[in-house]
Amino acid sequence: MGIEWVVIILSSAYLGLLFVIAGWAEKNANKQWLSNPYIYALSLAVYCTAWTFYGSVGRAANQGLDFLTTYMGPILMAPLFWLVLRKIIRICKAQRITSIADFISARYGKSLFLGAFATIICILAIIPYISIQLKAISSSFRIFSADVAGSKGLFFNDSAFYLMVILAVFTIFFGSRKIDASQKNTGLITVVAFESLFKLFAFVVLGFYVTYGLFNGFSDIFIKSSELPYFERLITIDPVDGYGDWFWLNILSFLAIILLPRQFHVAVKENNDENHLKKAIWLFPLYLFLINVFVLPIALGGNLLFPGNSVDADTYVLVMPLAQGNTFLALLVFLGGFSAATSMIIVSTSALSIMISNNLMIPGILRSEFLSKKLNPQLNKVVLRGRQLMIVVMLMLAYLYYKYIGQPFPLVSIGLISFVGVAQFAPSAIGGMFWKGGNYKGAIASLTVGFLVWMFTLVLPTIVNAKLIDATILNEGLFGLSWLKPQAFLGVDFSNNVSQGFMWSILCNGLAYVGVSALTSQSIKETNQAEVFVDIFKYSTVYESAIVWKGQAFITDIKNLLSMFLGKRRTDLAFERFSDRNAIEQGTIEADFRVVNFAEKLLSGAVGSASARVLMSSVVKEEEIKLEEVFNILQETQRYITDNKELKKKSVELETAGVKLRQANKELTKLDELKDEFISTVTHEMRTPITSIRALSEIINDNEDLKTEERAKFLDTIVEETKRMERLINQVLDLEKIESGKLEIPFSTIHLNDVANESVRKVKQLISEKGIALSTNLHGKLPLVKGNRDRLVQVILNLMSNAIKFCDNSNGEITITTSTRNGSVELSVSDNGPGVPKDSQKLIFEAFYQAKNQTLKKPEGSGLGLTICKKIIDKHEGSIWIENGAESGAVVAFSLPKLKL
Amino acid sequence: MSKKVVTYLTVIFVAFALALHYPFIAIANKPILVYGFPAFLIYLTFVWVLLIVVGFLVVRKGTSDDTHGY
Repeated sequence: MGIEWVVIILSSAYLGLLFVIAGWAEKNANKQWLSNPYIYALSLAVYCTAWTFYGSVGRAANQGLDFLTTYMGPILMAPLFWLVLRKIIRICKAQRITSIADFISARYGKSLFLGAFATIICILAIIPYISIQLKAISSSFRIFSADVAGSKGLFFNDSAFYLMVILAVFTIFFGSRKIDASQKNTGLITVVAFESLFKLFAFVVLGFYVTYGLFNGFSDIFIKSSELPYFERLITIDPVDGYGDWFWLNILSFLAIILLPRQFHVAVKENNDENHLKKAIWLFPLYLFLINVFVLPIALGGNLLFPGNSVDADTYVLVMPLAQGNTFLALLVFLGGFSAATSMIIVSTSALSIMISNNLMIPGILRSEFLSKKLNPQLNKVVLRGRQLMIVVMLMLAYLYYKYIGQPFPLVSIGLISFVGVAQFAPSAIGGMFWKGGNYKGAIASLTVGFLVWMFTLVLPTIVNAKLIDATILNEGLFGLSWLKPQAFLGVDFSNNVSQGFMWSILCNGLAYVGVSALTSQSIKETNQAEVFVDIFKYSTVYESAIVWKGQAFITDIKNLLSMFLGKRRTDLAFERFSDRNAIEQGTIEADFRVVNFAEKLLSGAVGSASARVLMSSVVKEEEIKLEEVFNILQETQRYITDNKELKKKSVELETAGVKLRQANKELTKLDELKDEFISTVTHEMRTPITSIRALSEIINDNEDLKTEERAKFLDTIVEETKRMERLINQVLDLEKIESGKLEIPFSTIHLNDVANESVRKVKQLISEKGIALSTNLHGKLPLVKGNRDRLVQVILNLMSNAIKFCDNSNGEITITTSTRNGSVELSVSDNGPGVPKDSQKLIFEAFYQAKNQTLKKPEGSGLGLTICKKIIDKHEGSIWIENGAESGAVVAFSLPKLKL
Repeated sequence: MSKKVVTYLTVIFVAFALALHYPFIAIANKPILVYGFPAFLIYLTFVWVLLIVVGFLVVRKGTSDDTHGY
């Protein structure tokens, strides 16, 4: 069996593997792990085609480092993914846009013409690009066997033809399964990610083999090849023309990474989660780095092994291992290149098929009365089959191009010319996303000018080179005008055709876009779309309300239209969900603007936004909208968004207020209970003396013969009890006054030592009578405080009387201390009594604490003294507390804030 | 990711766009080998790897900010 059969069997097995992977992934499509950022980042690497695989080495071997310009742009775009790609993704999700042509058409008022124009540019740019993939595969195949495949033979002898058939089947199976193009094709994306890994693996293995197997590492190759006559040219950029080319080609790839239909397809349409972009920001440059590390060593190694251009540099990667007899590695490399080509073909054709169906086929059917009547009952089938047919047609065209036109061109030149073609979308697509002023006429001018300059400077020379038209136009210029030479446009001659063609086309294109947009005005529909595109992050959550629509429509009509494309079940389900979400009542007959916009969005997923617009306007009666209305409604929508945010904030505030209110209510209830308790305690306290007064008075009254001494003793008790009552009433009144704030406590600047001395003077007599030792320990430099002298005296007296009550009966000792601590002034009264149990220390300041606490020996006193003290100190913004002394006894202390000078 | 992180990413773009173009590349664009490697290749490799690392760090910061609810 010849090696060619091994190659055929291997490639068939590889394609079979792709089917298995895709089928398996489709089956597990709803599993979370299949939608992960790594698969997303790897799918972006569909950017690296057979052109990367074979062409980069060829370009590096002949021209040096300028092959890197294809990757410099993408790695520079990577940090902007979050800013640019995320915005495109959000816009496309909100409007169910599925291709770059749809995107441009939607931005400029859902124009059918723009969509069709952009699609035609894509077809013209991408078909040759697909064809070079076929060419790469078939020429790599020929390296294994010169006999089996020849592009000159009939198609059934040509491996590329069979490959095309298999890829068509694959793409139809996994690229266009669903009528709603905005749904994800997990199988397709998983296969693309797998192929990205595979081609990287194959290339890196070859890189190691060449660098470390055939040579002794990187520096060995570089040092050996420094003998080559053109080595300096290969490791530097030409300082005369090189920097300009480098700059323009970098911008070219910078735009291509976003605008190429296949990149748009994987990065935008198939994106599951915006957050996947975060990983792609560094993973994608890393991938490109890895796949490029070995390009220059392989190219230089090839130049060393095959001196004097004896082998086409595009085929170095295969010829190098084959020449060493390493067939196994050569087969692996072949499969790597094969995978690079197939993934590009699969994704590009599915992207193109959607584009063509949305922007050329369906509008065509809708326009033709005959066709639309005839196809009306099964429009959904027509759309799906049409898309699948387009896949076959695209591949067919690519094959024919490869077979009959594209043979003479190297891989790279066609790839770059394609890049320049799609880069013409940049002003209208990217400009329109950030500039509201860009309009339909500007976009038409931009695409027309860009397209013409591209055709003239880049496509025309390739047609001449293919000897399809006469070369005079190249040499003498259009109409014999020397400044209209395609390769020296306006008389400027670049060393690199592509960079000059790109420069002229993009400059003229951008200028036309900005100039025409500035000079002309927008239609109302456009203004609306421009607003939504540029400010998508404001509108994406309320998209249906952000599109202004006025007219009359019936839900049944709209539903019927939708079921034609989506089927009855899906339509009903979608409507049910939408009605639920937007609180639209069941059985509503007339559709409001939200329903119309929602239906149009759903339809866009199946037929594209421009066709969806046409279809919708056929079932609803629309009214003219005025510009002010658009702005009013947009403003309202924005206000609605801000109101909504405000409302959310308010409801959170309300909730916290509610919690506080409940808490306050609880406290109030507790206070109420306390008040009841207080009253009952006070009355209880009053009843005791009253009872004794009454009893004693009755005794005196009833017994006239009472002894004088006894009578005097009883009267004394009555007086004492009355005093006690008076005291209690005074204190209750005092407390009430302080609590209600009626009691005015005028503050003045005072010295706490003076207050202490005054208090001591007042009780000195009583203390010495009781035989208690009183000592004072006053701070020498006590700061001044603000306070009410009389009230503070009252507090100190109260504390001292407590101390007198509780201190040791035989050897009573009381100490008054003043001190400062942390900006406050403290005064404490300590005794040598029994002290206060720890768990009572806080409670003791509550009213009638000792009355309630029956375990304590009940001394004289109203039970309100400390409560009043606390209230007074609180009024002074100080604090009062009680603790036990170091050895024994209690220390009651209060602190007042130091006077601020 | 917060606005700040988006600003960082934009600044990264500008800085690396400058680093990868004239006149900055002219510094390394010399036909010489340094330790057996072309000087220009060393420069490009360095910038490229730096771009990956900086991108990774900034995104990680942005992501951890998100999970902490800033």
